[in-house]
Amino acid sequence: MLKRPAFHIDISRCTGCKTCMIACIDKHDLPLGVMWRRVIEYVGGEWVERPDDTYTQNVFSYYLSVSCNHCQNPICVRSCPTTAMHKGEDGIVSVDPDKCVGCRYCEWGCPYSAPQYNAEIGKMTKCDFCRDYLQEGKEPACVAACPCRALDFGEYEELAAKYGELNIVAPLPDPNITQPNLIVTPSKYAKPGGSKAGKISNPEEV
Amino acid sequence: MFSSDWSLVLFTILVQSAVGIVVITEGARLFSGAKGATLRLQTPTACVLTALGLVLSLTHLGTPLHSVFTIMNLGNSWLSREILSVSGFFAAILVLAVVRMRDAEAKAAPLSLLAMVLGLFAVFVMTKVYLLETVPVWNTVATAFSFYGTTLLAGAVVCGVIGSIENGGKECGESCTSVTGLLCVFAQLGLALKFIAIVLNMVALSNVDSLGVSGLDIVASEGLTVLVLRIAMICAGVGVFTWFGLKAMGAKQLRVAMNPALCALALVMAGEIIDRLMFYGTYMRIGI
Repeated sequence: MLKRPAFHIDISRCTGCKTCMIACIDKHDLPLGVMWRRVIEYVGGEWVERPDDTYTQNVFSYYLSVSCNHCQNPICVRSCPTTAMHKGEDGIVSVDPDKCVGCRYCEWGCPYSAPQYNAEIGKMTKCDFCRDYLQEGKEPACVAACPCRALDFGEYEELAAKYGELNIVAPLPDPNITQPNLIVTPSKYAKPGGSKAGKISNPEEV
Repeated sequence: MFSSDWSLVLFTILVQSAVGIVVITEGARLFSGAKGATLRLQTPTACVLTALGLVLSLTHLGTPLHSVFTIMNLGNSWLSREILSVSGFFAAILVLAVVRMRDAEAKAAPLSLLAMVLGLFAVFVMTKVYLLETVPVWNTVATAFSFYGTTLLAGAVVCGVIGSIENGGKECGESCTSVTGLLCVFAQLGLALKFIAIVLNMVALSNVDSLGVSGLDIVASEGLTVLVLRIAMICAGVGVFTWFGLKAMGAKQLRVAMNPALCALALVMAGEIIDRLMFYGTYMRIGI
């Protein structure tokens, strides 16, 4: 059993194909509009003047596949009035449907849009790290489905040793707020956290 | 820009109005010697408004039957604390309402003071619910100014209307005009707080963007006319209320005339509802 489960995203490998999203929706049989994993397209760029007075462009685009990061200091758990949102001994943040009142306060606070409201059941739902798959020794559905091997998972310390400890690029939020168990490998186009160089070009999808 | 969170809009306005009614009228009884007979229906009305607000808040929940669990995280969640504090305020004014209905002149100073303190504390906790570090537009002192502004403004005008209803045809006593004067002062004070909140809110909106959209863009693109209308409505409401309040005081009448009081209430409430819809509609969270 993992103690501090974490996800790794390799932006340089991600092509934005959204197979991870589909695999997650399929595995958990999620209704329309409920997305435990979302792929954000971050784009930007402008004309730049060269030293010889000619112009070029610095257009960039990259994808971020993000689900719940099962944070060390989860704002959803702190704000949940019922304690339905909780962090288990296995480090997985999950919702107790027998307690959730469907107030959506966790949704207001989480800067990763992890808690997702399911109107069919009137309760919050979210990524459970494919807990059942983990117990069977399998990979989470999103990780297993990624055709580019841009996603990885594991014990945070092991992932950190393998990929480093970077956990923010634009447009991810300040990691100090929730201390996400997320590790990012940037592409050469990735902008630093807090950068306003680009914008999310597919807000209707995420 | 406009939110569909009608249940939260009405819950917050109704409870804040109720707190305003209790703070103003119980304060008037305690500290300015207002006659109890002229303020008999105020606290029971506040009680009804709070009960209505609490019932409406249930319609916001996906699973209302689980609402019993909502006070289980008092140690961490301001939402838990809000539910407990509003319930505590409701319990206090329910007892106070029974006392007032039985004997309008009953002193009940400790209970009266307790209801006022619990009411103001409930508005503080309601404010804290929205001070989320991931929602910078809400996470400013503007939210507190706005909520306490509604408390005083709506509370004063509702008090005026109730006074108009219950005091029709009564003789004017010595202290009869002091309550009307107090209501006018609190309405003006509430309006001042709302103006401070509007300015601070615009500053907050100009400093944030979410998903590439600036906060001010939202207001500018969809809501400038509505923002002006909302300001005009609350100003007109307070203007009408104060003008006729002063007229009543000058003529030594016990109450603000009914029609202007109702007109002021309609204007202020319409402005407050638009204000709160805009508040929820400008929800912009950092991150993705």
